[in-house]
Amino acid sequence: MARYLFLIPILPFAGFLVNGLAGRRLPRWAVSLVGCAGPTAAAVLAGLAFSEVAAGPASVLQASLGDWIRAGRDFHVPLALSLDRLSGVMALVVTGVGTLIHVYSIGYMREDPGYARFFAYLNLFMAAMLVLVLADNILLLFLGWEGVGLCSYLLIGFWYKDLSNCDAGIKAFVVNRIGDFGFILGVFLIFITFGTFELEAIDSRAAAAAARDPLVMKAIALLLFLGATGKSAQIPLYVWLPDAMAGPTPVSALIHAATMVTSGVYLLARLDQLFLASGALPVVAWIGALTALLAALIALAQTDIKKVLAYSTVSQLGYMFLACGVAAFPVAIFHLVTHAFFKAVLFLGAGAVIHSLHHEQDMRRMGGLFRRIPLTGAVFLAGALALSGFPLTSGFFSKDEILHETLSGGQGLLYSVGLTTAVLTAFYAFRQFALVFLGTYRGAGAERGDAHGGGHGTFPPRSPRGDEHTFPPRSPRGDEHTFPPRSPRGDEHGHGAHEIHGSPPSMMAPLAVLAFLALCGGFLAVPHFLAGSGETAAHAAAGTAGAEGQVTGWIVGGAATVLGILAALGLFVWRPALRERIVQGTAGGRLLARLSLDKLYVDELYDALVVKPFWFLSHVLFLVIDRFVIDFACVRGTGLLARTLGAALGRLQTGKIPSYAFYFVGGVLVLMTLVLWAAG
Amino acid sequence: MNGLFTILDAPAAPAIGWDDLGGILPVLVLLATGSLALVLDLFLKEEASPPVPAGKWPLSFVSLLGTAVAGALLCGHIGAAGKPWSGFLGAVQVDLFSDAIGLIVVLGAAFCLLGAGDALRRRGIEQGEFHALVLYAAASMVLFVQSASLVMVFLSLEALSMAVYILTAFQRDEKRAVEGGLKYFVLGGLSSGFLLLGLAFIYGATRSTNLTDIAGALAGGQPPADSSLLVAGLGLTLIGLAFKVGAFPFHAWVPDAYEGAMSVVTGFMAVAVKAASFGVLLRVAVLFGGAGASGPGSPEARGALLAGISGLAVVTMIFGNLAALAQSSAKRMLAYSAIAHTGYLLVGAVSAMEARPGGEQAAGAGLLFYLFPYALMSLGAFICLSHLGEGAEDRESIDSLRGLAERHPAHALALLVIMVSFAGIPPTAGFWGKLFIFREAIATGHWELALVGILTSIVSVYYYLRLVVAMYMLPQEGGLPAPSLEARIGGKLALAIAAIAVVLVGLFPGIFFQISAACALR
Repeated sequence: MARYLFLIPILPFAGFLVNGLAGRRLPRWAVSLVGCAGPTAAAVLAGLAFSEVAAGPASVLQASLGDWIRAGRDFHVPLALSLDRLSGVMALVVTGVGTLIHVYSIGYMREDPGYARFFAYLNLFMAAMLVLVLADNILLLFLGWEGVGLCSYLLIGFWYKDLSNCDAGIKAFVVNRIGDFGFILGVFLIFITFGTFELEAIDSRAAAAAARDPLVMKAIALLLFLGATGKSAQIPLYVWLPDAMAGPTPVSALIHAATMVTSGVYLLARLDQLFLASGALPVVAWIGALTALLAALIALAQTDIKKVLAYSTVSQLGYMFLACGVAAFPVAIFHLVTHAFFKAVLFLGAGAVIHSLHHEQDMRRMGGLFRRIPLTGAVFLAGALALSGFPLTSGFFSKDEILHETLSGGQGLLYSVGLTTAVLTAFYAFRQFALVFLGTYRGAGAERGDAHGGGHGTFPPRSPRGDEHTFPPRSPRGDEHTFPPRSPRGDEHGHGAHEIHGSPPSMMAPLAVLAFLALCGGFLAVPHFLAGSGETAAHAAAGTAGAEGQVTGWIVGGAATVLGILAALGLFVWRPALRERIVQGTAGGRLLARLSLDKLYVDELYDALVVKPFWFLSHVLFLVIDRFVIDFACVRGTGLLARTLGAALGRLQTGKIPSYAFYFVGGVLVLMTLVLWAAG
Repeated sequence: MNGLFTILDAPAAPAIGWDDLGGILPVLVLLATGSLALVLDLFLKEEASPPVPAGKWPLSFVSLLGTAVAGALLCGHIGAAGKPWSGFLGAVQVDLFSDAIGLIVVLGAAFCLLGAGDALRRRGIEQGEFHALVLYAAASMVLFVQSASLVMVFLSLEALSMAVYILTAFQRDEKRAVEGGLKYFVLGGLSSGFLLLGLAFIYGATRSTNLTDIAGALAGGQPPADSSLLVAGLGLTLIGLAFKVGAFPFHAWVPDAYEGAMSVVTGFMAVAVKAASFGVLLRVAVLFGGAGASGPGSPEARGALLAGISGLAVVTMIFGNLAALAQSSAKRMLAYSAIAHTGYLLVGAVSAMEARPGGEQAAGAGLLFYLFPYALMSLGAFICLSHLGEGAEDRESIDSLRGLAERHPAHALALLVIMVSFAGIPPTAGFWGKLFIFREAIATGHWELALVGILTSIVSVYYYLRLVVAMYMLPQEGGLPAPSLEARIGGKLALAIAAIAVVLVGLFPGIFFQISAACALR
């Protein structure tokens, strides 16, 4: 099997080549076939490889294609992949969820003119993500890391004709660059310290190195963690992820929820010994917990269906880092897996809703959809339950293990932050479910007449402030209607005439599979499986020892979830008037709603603290350095000098043999003098 | 009769036998193919107007076959890592280094012959003499690098020069061709005089014509009979070789001869003549001025050669690059660029002199590596100019390349790749060539040469990219109509091979560098 390891990333890459180069000339069915075949085959291979690794307790599959880079005597980077239990789990998630989302995209992107381009990018992403996951050394991992970043950028700006989508792509790219800068510095330090790039070697030598030079190890860990905060959207670099929702919904599900954004967590889990030895874990834990809380707070009041999910992703990633921070790396990966399931369901479900409503994303114009698209509603409910951590769903187990590990690690404060976030999570998840699926339909369409008036009454058109950070849902057809429509709903484009329709089987089938996984995925004993491979044997032992604590934790966690769900249902379904009174009537409620809706003003803060000064400095540098020093003094000056000299030298070429012979003899005299003088 | 037999039977008397001929088989193949081309031409009918597209294809076919066989023989010798072999009473020495240079020479000849069919047919001068001259010149060049005796050096140099003089002026009804050929001939005569004088001085100083013997004596601690005579001889020899490689200030023939000759011939000159002359230059420099296993044989000679070659390298790099800036003809620009590249290669020769036998650095690996991409780029560029030509004219001015990207996108792309590689921008072969040469220079302590090289390379980006700007960014001005290129298979093929090879070498430099290191002088 090890021999075929390289096929896992190569197959999707082949799909990228075919669809990227010839996709425009292929019929749609061929594009779909090629686009889905690569990930499917990769998933099968990953499954086979995984079963092989799972059989033995410490077996690792390795494959090498020789040297990738070789320079000097001691710098060489092999082109090698390895699949152990950790990367095997990741590869399964990436290929499994990835394949389902590819299938879903067949239906979702059906009418898009960039169909082939979409599949090409998606396949390229799969290839890069698999390289990231399977890489044997940190430099190859970095290749995948940058590759997924590139694909993320390309797919966020997939509908590039709308400038705001491109801006979102650029924002994601630039913010990630800050993180990657840290990552690169970390890699440099790693090579200086360990003299190798091999992940296993680094990890096993970390403890000894930390004893020698604790400061450097801390620096390495923090720099790598900075990279992780960029890719995995943590404080302070999370701001790009909500904007990234500008991409098509399958992209949000695959890249910005299930796989790419979790690669920071994977990095930490991969180098767990390094992080354990470095002493940087408290930072990781606090960043994670605070991100979880902050993002959950922001998610409370978002009105865009995808924005809620985006902030929820940030928050859940915070949980994973919290788990890493208390040294429970297998648990972090467990939550990563369950999160991949339920967040993919939620995103794809949201996509199905958006699809059904003809690219409506504002939850204030939804409602009562459960009766119209019950299947979508059911899977969305499954996802929301799992996200809230409802007992016995997948999210319940993984989230609870995180909280349990936090508490048993003696981190009471972190635990309370995590528990608060759990309540908030359940609240916003069911607020969203209630707004979209329960109550009465407030959008354009069937109840056109009264929805028109009523909609305005209850949900006034968004204020300009609310709009500027929201992404206009783009029609995949790339036609001209933009959002929000300034004209009353049911405008000249005849949206009102569209029926609310269900989604095709190619969309519903992957949803059903994922919904099943979201509900039952918690019974996968991922942490024990990973711990068995020797990752953190101590924690496995602690896990069994604290079984009674676990039961208590389950009860507390379940209660928190139920509390959040009841609160959400109470305020949004049973007693809407009470909500109005809290939000409008009390000062605290108003403030909270305002702060949450405006995302705690973090974007504005960054704008004032980072972007504006940076802009100013850039402008000064542009004028002084670029315009004057480089353009004027260096480029023009030297260019002019060189060309003048050249023209003068060109005049030597008279075309006459006597003058040539003269140069020759002159040259002989000078050279012979030089030679004889040098000989002494 | 009896006496004659005793002489032949005498075991002690060294004689030239069949083994000697077997050793220089590639040279013989080239010579025989050239003669075959001459005879074959007699049996091919001269087609009157309109010229048939295929023309005298058997000529090209046979001569290309000859280069292929010669190339395969050389490759086989390299592949088998053959031991150095000496023959013809020590006058000829075949080793991997001469094989590698010979291979580049044969490559140049093959490309020239590939493109020549079209170029000659358009001018109505498709004659077997051309093919024969190219093959004879190539054979002489291979012998030139194989020379292990002062006499052999001079004889083969003259043989190759004669052939190339005639090739330069082959288009004899064209004024510029005749002018270029004549200038080359006259100045070549001048330089041959200095070279001959230098060789005579060396003989006078060491009492031997055999380079291996001389080097062995020097390395064995026997000082030359007359040290300053040796230095003077080496200086004069260096001048003769510097003329052949086109180093400043012995470069004056280069722009005129390169411009006058047909572009396919220019490519051949720029590659094959230069490669062969560099081969001999490197051999002389390392033999007389190398660091040596136990110190240099003659410190005076070493100091003189280091100073001379470094000096030539610096002024040549500066002159070539600056003068190229001011050209408006692509062909002349490429001629000056060839001078500039002579400068870079001379830097490689200087670092080769620093390498100790048996040490880590093989002498001249960087130079040898760079010769290969340089050959591909030069051949590609000149063949492209020839290929796009019309009638008796090649495409020469930079302005005439305007808008090429729209009319002939594939040609423009190939030329773009070649220009980018000339400028030394990764991931093309030219980048690695410059990198290896400058890295060797820095590693051997000649950082000032590397610095000049890097700075002048920056200057060179300007003029190389001017071609790209013309092809891709400037609209076509009235000017020349697009020639129909359907029939010109040879040039197309050559251009495609050159451009693809430049990229491939750029992507996988390691393999080629290993071969270069294996073939470098020991």
